[in-house]
Amino acid sequence: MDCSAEKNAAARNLADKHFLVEDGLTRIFRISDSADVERAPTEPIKLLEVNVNTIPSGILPLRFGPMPASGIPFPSIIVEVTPEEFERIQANDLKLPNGWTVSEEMQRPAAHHGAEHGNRA
Amino acid sequence: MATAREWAHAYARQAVADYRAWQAMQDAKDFHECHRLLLFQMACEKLCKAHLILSGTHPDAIQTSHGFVANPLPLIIKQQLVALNVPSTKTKGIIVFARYLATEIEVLNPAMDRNGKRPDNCEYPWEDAIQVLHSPLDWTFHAAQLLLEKPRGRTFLKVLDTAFARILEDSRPD
Repeated sequence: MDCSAEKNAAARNLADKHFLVEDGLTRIFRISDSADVERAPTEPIKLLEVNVNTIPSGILPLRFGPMPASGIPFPSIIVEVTPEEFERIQANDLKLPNGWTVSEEMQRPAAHHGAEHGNRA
Repeated sequence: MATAREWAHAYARQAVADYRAWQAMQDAKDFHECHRLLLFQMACEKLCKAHLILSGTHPDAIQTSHGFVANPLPLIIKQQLVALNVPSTKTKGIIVFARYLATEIEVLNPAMDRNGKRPDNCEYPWEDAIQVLHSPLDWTFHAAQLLLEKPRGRTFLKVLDTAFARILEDSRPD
């Protein structure tokens, strides 16, 4: 079953919520596996988060279960890096695991109010 | 051969057991703070490692190494705040606190001394910059003060408690 649309909406929702809950988060990108893998409902939403408040630790992907009550009905994997580490990823000096690639950037929501009080998935 | 999920669940169970032991020791006055914190640090480290293994990190890559708290733990707290639908007016302060506390928890492990800047730890005596010998038995740990004496410490512990319950569920083998 192709659940790309639902997963995209849930990823947008998760990114909005993460932008909302912490100020140090400067940029969020989707991380992609192959198209076939990404279409699977069990494949997690994967986000790369650039955060000025984190410490340099390399690539530490953390997996979380679905959070349907928060509008995130898919599992997720979050990789948090410093701005300097993100530059190294862009320069191919620091690699994501499993052949993952950095994909589209998730823009910061213009108005936080809607993201806090409504689920967009 | 055990699956990643089975490994993660085993780490999660061990983390929760360490955490419950730390909680039980809070009421027992005949333990030193260093021993309580040793369990707390180990519980947090295993919680972080369970999330890493669940994402596909091989257990061998992290089993005997340390330094897996300061970066992952605040992210786990953040995700849990989202799961609990905590309003952003409260989350920002909690996450700032969690980031600071997580660095203090990480240096409780003697292997993590921030290039000699933080020799204080829960296990072994150390000599400071002016060659005074210290024992963990006599040391006042900043992490304990943050956790147990600050209002945000209590909030952090409430969220952490739910994070332990969640990793048990998230890692439960199918």
